[in-house]
Amino acid sequence: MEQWIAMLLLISAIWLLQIRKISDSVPILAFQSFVLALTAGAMWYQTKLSHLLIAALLTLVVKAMIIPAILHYTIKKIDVHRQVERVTSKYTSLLMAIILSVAGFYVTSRLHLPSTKFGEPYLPVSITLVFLGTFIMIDHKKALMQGIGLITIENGLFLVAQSISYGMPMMVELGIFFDMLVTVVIIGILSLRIHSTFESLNIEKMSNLKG
Amino acid sequence: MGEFAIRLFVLSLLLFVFGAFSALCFNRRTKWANVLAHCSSFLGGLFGATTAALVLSTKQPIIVTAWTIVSDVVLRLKVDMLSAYFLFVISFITIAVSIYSLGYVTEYYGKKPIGLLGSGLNLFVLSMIAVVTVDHSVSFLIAWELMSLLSFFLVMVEHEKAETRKAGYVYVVMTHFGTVFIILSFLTLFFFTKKLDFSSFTQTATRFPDYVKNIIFLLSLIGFGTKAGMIPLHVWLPRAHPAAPSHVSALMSAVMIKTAIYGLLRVNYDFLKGGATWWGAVVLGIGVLSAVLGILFGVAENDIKRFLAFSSAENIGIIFMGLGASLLFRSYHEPLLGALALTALLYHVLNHAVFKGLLFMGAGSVLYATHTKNINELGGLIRRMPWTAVLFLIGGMSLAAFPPLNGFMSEWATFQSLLHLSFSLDHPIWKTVGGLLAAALGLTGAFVAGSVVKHFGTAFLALPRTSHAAKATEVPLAMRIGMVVLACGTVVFGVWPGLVLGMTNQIVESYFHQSVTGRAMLYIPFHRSVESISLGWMGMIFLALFLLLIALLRVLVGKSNNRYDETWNCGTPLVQTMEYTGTSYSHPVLMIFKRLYGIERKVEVHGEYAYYPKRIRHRLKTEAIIETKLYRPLILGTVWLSQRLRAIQSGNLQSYLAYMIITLVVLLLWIR
Repeated sequence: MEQWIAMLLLISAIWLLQIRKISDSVPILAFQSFVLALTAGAMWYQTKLSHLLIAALLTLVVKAMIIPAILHYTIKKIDVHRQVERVTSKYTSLLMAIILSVAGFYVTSRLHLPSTKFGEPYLPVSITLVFLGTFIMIDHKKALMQGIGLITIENGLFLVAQSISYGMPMMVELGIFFDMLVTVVIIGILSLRIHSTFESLNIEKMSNLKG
Repeated sequence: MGEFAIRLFVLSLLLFVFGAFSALCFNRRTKWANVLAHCSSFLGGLFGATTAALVLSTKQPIIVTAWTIVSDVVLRLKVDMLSAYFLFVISFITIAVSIYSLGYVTEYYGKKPIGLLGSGLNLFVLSMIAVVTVDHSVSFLIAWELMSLLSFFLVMVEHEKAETRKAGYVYVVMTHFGTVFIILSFLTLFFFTKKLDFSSFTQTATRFPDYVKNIIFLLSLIGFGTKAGMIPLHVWLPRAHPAAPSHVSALMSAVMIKTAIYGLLRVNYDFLKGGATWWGAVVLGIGVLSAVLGILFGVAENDIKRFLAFSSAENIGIIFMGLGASLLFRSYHEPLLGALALTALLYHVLNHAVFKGLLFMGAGSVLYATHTKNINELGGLIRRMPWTAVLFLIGGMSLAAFPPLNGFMSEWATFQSLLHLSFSLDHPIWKTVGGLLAAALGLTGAFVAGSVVKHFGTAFLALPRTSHAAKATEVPLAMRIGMVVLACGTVVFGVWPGLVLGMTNQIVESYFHQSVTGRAMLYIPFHRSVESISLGWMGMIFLALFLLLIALLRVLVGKSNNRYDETWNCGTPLVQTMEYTGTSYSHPVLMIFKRLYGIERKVEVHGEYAYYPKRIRHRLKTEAIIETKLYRPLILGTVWLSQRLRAIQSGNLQSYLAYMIITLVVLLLWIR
């Protein structure tokens, strides 16, 4: 069962690399966060650690609902129903994603991280999520996608913490959620500003600002 | 007694802190800020000097624990004998500089924030005191860095001048270059002792393997040598000293560069307790290079403060020669001679501080009165500023090592140590080199005397060359008192060396277990303990001979009779431009050492006939050979390398992210 959930997470991350329109990314992200909430919930069910439940609910509310809502609003406001732009071609990025996934699985198998009983199946996927999130940020040229990559990295880190020690202390978790929310709001605002200044979300144009 | 000394010391530190903060608070009221800042630094200096004297006379080190920074790093001030001696030097110069500053900063009224300036001065002195008293390598580095930064800010007071900004930049780069090496030497010590405090270094450093000792020695030599201004790491000296306000350059040149000597003594004597023979040879080599080259560059200068800065490099060379000789004797197990050389070096530290402080103050007074440092624009100041002239002359004579002033005493002791290299060491190389080194020191002395004559003669004698000099008036009383204090110092420390030797003896004894001291008038053992010769009496004899000569002339020639007449002037009216300039005075030296100065000389004759020229233009261009031949290639190489490296800094967000993930993956793969 855990393996299947982990695979869903992995597929969602690779899917984010393969989308055609920017607006497609929001439901995928919401789906990814929803699966994440599911993992936390499953872990709570197995361990009965109460803070896992809180984390699961928070993930569901913040990451799977509020954040996608903000992103959706931003995209509607900018009206970018256009295609995404990548540095590499669609198939090269798929190849890179596969290489990174293999690297993630290979690295975790070598590292012997002190994982927990119920979290262990998620560990390779969580590290791969971090890799893929970074690759999303590298590969996509549109500013909004950088934010989506960042959230994917965060999801990966959340899962790492969960699989190693059933999550971080409650205070840290809350802080991270709050940070995440603020980050997304800022990304939204910045995307609007960038769009109104450059008539584009392509971050390559921002290097024109360099002195 | 110990309790009293501690209280005095703490009081002195608090006074500096008080001076710094009160001056800041009264930044708007210039007069208040001036008085508050400099009175508290004066009192602080007074108490500091008293503490040092108490510690040295009672031979009881005092310890003040101030603040536990982190559990293992405690800000503890420990005044042992070596610290106390340097504390005395710092405090003594601070006393004089504080009085002098009361007058000197009036120059900046309305132009610069006086409160900031006074506050910076107080904190600068405080940081120097911290450097010589803390006993932990972390707090030492903090104090050292504070000292460097505060002095940098003080150099940058006249930041509106492009020249000052450039000087400040060179200074801050060089001083951090040195700090890197100091940090590395402490890290090496830490690596082998696993402790960071000085006392554990002292206990365990002698047991290090030889190669570790060598590394520590070389790192500390480069690190502290940069601060001391040894050639070829001196490039900041002739830039920063002239750019700073004169009272600050007096402090920097007289005291700050001595903290580097403190650091060298601390590392090489306290921690490592001497080492291989080649250490001494290296230090001697750098010393002789700094002394001779320093003054050769100095001779060519027409800017008083630049000359004084180069002369600081030269004096650091002399101190290094003493240090080298001392290390050498130590490695040959000649404790008495090593003790003598160490005494000479410590004595010169104090003496150089006193007369160089005096000279910088004198140069500052000239600057205050005429607003120029270029001696070719001065002249005839002795009639307008008699006090400054006489005091500058006393300082200059001490610099040129004239008996019985203090400069002579310590240079003479250094001479003796160098001659002992050839007399007392049974090694053919030292038999030759010792004599040559002494000859080089003699050469240095001659050039110093020449440059002092050049600067004093051109600036103070003859007719004023420009209206600046003609309109000069004597400087305020406070400045004169400040200079008088140090002028008294040059005389007292020269005539009564026993006073200083009483202080240095404690340090020398702790390292060599030999006592170098004397009765009221100093006896320095000439060889073993049999022959001995008194520096003080030598000075007295010189003075007596001089007086005798005057008396003899009076008897033989009779009363001097003056005849006033016009100078032969080839039939044209006498004008100021006919005067011998400073440039022409040092010209022969420039021609002899043409290679060293990289001279470009151009003579253009305008007019129909070569024998009746209408106008002759003579241009002399010197270039600093060390900078063009040593630093330029280094700088160009670094810039080239940096430009290549800049390729990876594209400014593109995605490439930065790519660097991050590549690093992450490689690290994760490599970590096992």
